[in-house]
Amino acid sequence: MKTVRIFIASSSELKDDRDQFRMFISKENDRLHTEGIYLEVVQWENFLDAISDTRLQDEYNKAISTCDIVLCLFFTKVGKYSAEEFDTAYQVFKDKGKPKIWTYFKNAQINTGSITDEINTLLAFKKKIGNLGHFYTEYTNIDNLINQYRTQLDKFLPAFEKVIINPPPSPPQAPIENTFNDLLTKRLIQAMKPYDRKANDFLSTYGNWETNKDLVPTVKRIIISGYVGVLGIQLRKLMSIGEEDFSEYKMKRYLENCHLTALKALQLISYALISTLWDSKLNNKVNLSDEQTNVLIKFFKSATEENINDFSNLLKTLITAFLDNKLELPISELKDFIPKLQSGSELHNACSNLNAITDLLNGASFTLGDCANAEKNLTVLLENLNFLVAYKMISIKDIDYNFQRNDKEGFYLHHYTLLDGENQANNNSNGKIRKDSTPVTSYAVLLFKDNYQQNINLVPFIIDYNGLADSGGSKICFYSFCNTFDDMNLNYSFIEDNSKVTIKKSGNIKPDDTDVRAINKWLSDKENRKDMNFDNVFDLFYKAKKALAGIEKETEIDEF
Amino acid sequence: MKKYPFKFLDSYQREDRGIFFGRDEEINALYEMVFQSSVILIYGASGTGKTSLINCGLAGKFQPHDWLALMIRRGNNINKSLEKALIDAGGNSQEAVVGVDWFNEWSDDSEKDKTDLSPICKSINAVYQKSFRPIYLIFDQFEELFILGTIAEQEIFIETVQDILQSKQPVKLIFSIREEYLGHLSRFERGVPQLLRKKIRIEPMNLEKVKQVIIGATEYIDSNISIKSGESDIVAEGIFDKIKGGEKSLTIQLPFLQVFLDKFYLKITNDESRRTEAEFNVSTLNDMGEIGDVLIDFLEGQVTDISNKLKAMYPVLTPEIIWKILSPFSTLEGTKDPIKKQDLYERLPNFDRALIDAVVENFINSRILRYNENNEMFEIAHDALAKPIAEKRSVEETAQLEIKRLIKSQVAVKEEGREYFTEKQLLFIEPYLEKYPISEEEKEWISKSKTHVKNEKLKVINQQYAELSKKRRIKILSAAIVALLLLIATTVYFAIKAREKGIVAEQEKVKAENAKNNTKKLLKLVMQGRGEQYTTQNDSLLVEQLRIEQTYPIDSLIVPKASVSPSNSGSNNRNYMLWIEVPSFRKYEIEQVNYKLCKGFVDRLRVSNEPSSSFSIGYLGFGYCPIVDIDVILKTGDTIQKSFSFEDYFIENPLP
Repeated sequence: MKTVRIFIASSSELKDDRDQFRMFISKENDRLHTEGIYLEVVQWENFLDAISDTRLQDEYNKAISTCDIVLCLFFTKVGKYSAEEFDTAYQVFKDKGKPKIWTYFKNAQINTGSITDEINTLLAFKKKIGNLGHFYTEYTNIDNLINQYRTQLDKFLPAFEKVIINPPPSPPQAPIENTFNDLLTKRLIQAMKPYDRKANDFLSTYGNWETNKDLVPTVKRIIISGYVGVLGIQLRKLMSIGEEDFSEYKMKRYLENCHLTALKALQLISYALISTLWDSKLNNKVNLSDEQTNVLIKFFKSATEENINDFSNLLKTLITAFLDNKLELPISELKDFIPKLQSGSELHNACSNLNAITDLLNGASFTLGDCANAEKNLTVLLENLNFLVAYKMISIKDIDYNFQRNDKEGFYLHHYTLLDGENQANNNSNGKIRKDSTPVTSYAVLLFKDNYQQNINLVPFIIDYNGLADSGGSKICFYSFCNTFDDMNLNYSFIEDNSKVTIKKSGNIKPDDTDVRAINKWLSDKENRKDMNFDNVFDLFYKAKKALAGIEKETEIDEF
Repeated sequence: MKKYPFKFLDSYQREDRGIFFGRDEEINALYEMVFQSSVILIYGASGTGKTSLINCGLAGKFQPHDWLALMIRRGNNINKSLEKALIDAGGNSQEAVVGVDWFNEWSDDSEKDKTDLSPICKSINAVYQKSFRPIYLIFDQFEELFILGTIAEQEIFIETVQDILQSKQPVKLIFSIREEYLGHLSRFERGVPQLLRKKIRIEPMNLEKVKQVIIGATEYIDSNISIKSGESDIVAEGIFDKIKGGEKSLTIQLPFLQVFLDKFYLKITNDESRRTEAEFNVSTLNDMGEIGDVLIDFLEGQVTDISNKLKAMYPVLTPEIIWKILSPFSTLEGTKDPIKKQDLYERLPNFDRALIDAVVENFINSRILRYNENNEMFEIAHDALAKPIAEKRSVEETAQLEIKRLIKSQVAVKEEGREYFTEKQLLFIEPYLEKYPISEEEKEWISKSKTHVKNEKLKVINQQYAELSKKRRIKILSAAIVALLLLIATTVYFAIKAREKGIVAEQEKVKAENAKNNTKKLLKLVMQGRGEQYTTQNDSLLVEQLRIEQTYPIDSLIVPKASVSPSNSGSNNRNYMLWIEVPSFRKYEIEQVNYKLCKGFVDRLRVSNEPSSSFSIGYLGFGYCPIVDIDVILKTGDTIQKSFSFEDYFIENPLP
């Protein structure tokens, strides 16, 4: 028979609840004894008589440290003893990882005449344990308490058995302080300041935000919504993981997402440059050196996703190509970026370290120190890319033209979705509308800074799968790799969960444009339009590949 | 340690995703929809596993940092429940929201000053800022809002949903509803047009999917159940067939599958703790009953077990009483009806509360009932179990429930728009009024209805009378002249006859008086012959008694009776006699009466279809059943369940 000791701490006003709770425990014992478990209740009325005043604290310590569960019940006041019992239990828990403390506040009607100053003890206590990060729940009546307790007990007992069956647990470790994202938050809000009015306004109003824990979430939200589109999404994930209780799994996901954030940031800039370079190449304004062409060939042919180091190198090559050809960089802030990408620089080291996270994850051995390093390196990267805060990313769906009788001129209705860290979670199937005097490319993902018309079209490297399929909402996918040595299909990764999305040629042949009837009939079918959109992405990729790397897709397989 | 891979009647949760099989297509479709709309609707028949699909299937597709689900059931009021769910998740709307009041053309309303948010949206904001996980508000069993909610409650909810969608908080809404209630959504859809744009129907399980469930759960590495090698397909198909029974359907209900699998496991291992490893095989499967039996068996088994278990503490407890305690958990139609403890006590006024508590407690442990923390209500774990409970109700109990519903629905309407009970309804209600406590308002309305019916009747009679006299008046006028002439002619004649006629009339009057007295005397004689209780009653009460016996539903008039007398031969055994007492002129409504005797009797079912003997049976024996269940089968086909307690009989009539 294994005994689970339950210590009940509560003020005298809850005597009835306590008594009923004891009855519940004895009933549970009837049920549990068949499973070899006995629940023993330790209650303070019994207990106080047995201990001497002078040694009170020691006796508490001793008694509570032998317990497995401490149940704290409070109603309108927190008696001196109850508060001490909680403190003692909490201290023992911090030192030994035991007992479990389950705290319940009774939430029931009270007679306002019965309220005394003692209510302050309750409020102060709630605040105090809130600050400790201790989780508590409320109960309305004894049935409610018992049922909540039963649920918790059901979860607890199997674990308890395990502890008892297994050899004694290793000595408890000191509790781990949660410092995830502290550095990232502090440095990114500063880095955003020159580019983001929200960040700027916030910092000038709340210079001392770090000392006020209520303001920290606001800072995090400014960062999430500030960093352009996909980076905001990634930062939201990191912030969320950071809030979790410590676990191996938390560390693993934190590392994974630091790595992914870095990769997506470099991909975004590289794709913006490749896309623009392709436009210039079509206008015959570009001459690429052999070295530059080789880097592009490697990118276009790679049959696995390129890593962070590859993208850092690609980025350097692309910026050089723009500078060599005296082309205007679509992201002007990259003009002086080359030195930052040289080996030995802080940014270069940060990228290499972030790239090495995959080894850590593959080896499945990582520590809190690794997480802190990843956070630091990612901070360096995002500080250097702080200008991205000034950019916006939108997914344009279809564009309507509206020109009515007696109008002097028509106007365009652009259907779009704004991509940012939090909107992704709230995409509305309706999307938004913007009225404009000129059209832009439809079914595209656009990156732009001040002037919407001067945008960078990221298709086919970044696509909105749901936009192309006209299914509502947005599903932004980054080009990942191409099945170069196989069926030539294109693989993208969905930014929300990094899952693979494959685009292949549909084989649904569009009728000739000259046959008006046939083409109209064909286009009237939504499925045909969807095929057309995806086929277009597929063709665009191979056109870009041909233009920039000089490779015809038909000859691919022969070369190897 | 190996794990028992079935969930019985509970829904699957995120941590069960390793043992959740057969729903991959639906999970993927649902997951895609999450990125297509902020509002998703899931519908399907009861018991198709909608809740599991969300809590386990969909939740399992997300990393923990991308998924914060708040499950919301209506409880007493969906708006309050939503509020509570958010507050429980840490969303205190009173907390000041720190926002930055600045926006541009692209981030327009998303950055609107957060202090403008409604309390619910502030709560959502606070919950989000605690964990930075996108919030999924999941409204499970959403039909409850339309079955039980008021129009005002629905309207407030629609406004709240509009508000949430406009607030641009990172929140999505998932509604799960039984498909028969889809039509109720039209008003909601007008307010929230995207409601039905992204929707998914959860189909019942077909053979292929059931196979995936059974084979998946048994091949799962930590499962303590396996299937005999080579028999996987046959066993899975066999289980499907057993559950399908004689029906032509291509699909089966999930809860049935779970109950069946559980029974199957227990048949093999007999291990209630569900730890022993088991191997499913064809030959054991062949010995299993069909699902209908399994399900009712299961519930009945539990009822008997609990009755036996608690017998020591509550000697009065019988399975019948347990069925009565379960009755309030099921609606008239046999679907589940969540109820608060206090309401349960009120529905069962003659029961010991400690006994009710104990029974409820035991059903929670055996998973037939469960407690819903959000609304503090107890409910049957699944609709599938509500039906057998409804079927166990006596005709009388069902009638009581119908009457309760009738009264409640009528009185729920404001008095201006309320309709009076009709005469027929009043007739139906009356016999049960004493047994069923009603509120003052209800009482008043019934009495008003009675007055109304009476007045209406009077009105009709007056009208008929008026018409009749009008016709008469015309006739009389034309006849008057003739009559006048005749009058003079006949005056002389009548004067002679009048004397004669006066004598005859007097004689007739005496005769009529005598007949009336005779009738009363006869009535008295007849009624006295029917029992002592009638001897002292006055005439008007006897007439009322007769009226009751003529008009009341027959089940309220049937009383089982028995007598025990010493054996004629003077030995130790006795003559036992059972019959039913019922007004003689209503006997023709009864087809036959079945007496179900307990173990120990050779002939355990005794049947009588002899009205003249009051459907009696008898035996000469040494023993008796503590309780004899009696089924009175009516000509209409209905069965009225009665019972007779010899235990009580012998308390009142101790043996010499």
